[in-house]
Amino acid sequence: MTAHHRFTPTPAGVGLRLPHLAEVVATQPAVSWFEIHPENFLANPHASELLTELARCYPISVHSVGVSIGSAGGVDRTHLKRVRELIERIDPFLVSGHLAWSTHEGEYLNDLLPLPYDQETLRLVAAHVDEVQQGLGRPYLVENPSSYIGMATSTMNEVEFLSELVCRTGCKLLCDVSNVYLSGHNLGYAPHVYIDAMPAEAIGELHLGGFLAEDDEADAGQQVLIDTHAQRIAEAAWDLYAYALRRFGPKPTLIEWDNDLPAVATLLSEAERADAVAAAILEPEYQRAVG
Amino acid sequence: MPLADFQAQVRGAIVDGKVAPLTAVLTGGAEPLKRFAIHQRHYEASLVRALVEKFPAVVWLAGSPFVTAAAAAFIRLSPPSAPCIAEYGEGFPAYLAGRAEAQHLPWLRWVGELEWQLGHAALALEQAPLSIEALAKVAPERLADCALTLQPGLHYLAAPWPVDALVKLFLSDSAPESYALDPEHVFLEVRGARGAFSMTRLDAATFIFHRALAQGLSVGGAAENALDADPAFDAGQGLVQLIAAGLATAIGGADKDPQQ
Repeated sequence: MTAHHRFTPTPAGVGLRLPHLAEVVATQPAVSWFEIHPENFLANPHASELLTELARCYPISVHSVGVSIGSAGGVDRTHLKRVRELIERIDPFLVSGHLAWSTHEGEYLNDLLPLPYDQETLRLVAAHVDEVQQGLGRPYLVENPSSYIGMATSTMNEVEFLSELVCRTGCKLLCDVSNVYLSGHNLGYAPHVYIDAMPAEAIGELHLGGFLAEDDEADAGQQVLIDTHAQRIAEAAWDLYAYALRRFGPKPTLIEWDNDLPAVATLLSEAERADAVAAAILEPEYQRAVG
Repeated sequence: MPLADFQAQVRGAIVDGKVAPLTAVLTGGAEPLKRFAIHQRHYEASLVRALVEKFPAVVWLAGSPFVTAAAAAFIRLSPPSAPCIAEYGEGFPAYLAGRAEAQHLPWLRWVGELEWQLGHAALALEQAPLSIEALAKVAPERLADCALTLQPGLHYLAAPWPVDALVKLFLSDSAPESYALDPEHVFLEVRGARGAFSMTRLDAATFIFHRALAQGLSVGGAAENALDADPAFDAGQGLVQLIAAGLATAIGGADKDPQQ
């Protein structure tokens, strides 16, 4: 007798922003998991209470925008402690942040700023990832940034930097597929080559977010892609997502939408599309593998 | 270039607009500095939006162009100090009031101060109130030395203009053809929890009593402050009324644990 093994995809989740929080708690929509930015909850006890309630019903992923592992002045330990307190309360299944920096001498610049990829930065970021993983008491996933510029002083490319970071710290990677496409477009490299070069065994999560094409002021007829997270995911990013799934296999995938928020139903439809893409790519491979 | 120096240059470019030092460092696109301007625009747009959204009554009263321009200047003088943007902007009302364009709006700062407090009160969680019975268990001779813990969503604002009336007008979404606002000292107790808030005018002595307790003064110390303002203030009655309104959550002294 041949058993028919049922394919079980790793279903997609959606980013949960404060304007949707009360609705989501009240209606408990059919989605597999949510990802939150801790910075939205740390100074908001009411929202934090609702999040704690939600965490009893859904797996939660915590994605920080403020830990700033790339700051030369060090990680903001006060902020890290607050993030840890939230994490201990809701016990997320993933905790992640960005290969970027945001703080400088006590100022928070409210952006994910680029780094030169050289040995000094690698030593510093690796030390900070170690500190974050120890401080949080769990693995930390580092996300590839959305890039508009590069650094003349870089001595390695981004994937080489991330791969070495994984080797030095044991951290995992969050592959933002939209960022790979956007950065490749903006800086002139092939997104598929970037995906091929990533250490597949270290990939713990995928992100998909919307970006906006603007005319490049400096280059007539050319466009620059802006990481707005304010619209549906572009078809080119969906195509790259399918490619990434073939390379990485099934991974928790997040739909990110941070600005000009649509109805919750729109986010859910994007998550359903991610699930459909994953099923179309992965189920035949799975059935072949199990015979 | 050391990373710290590079980041200082980026900070200078984003906050102060000094991009020249980055010219030799950046790559990407036909003109990398124009690409870098995406980060400069994001810093300004995201923080200005955050400030404008925090002070909607100020915008309603003073106009969006003025408040937006003031916010764009404020974020360069006073960048955030922490990643929780909900905590950013406490100094904006005072800055706004110092702008030349606001000199004919002497009440504007106080509208902003009140909005700041309302916004934060609404994020709080109300705790179980201290009961009169729990208060009665404290030995009378020790009561003056005890301190109270008040509800987290309580805030106190003394303002030289009746700005609560302006904010209530804003909240009611009604704009009269004309509105006369005369100077008047008001003592406001803001109370909020779980998305809701209220404003109550107190007499000066009661305001001082409540605010002092919120600041951690002992019952006796708070009463002394209130009596300085009004020798007729009845501290005992004031304390009972405060407990009855559910404003306190715990009582304790230096030598004993708080009682719920």
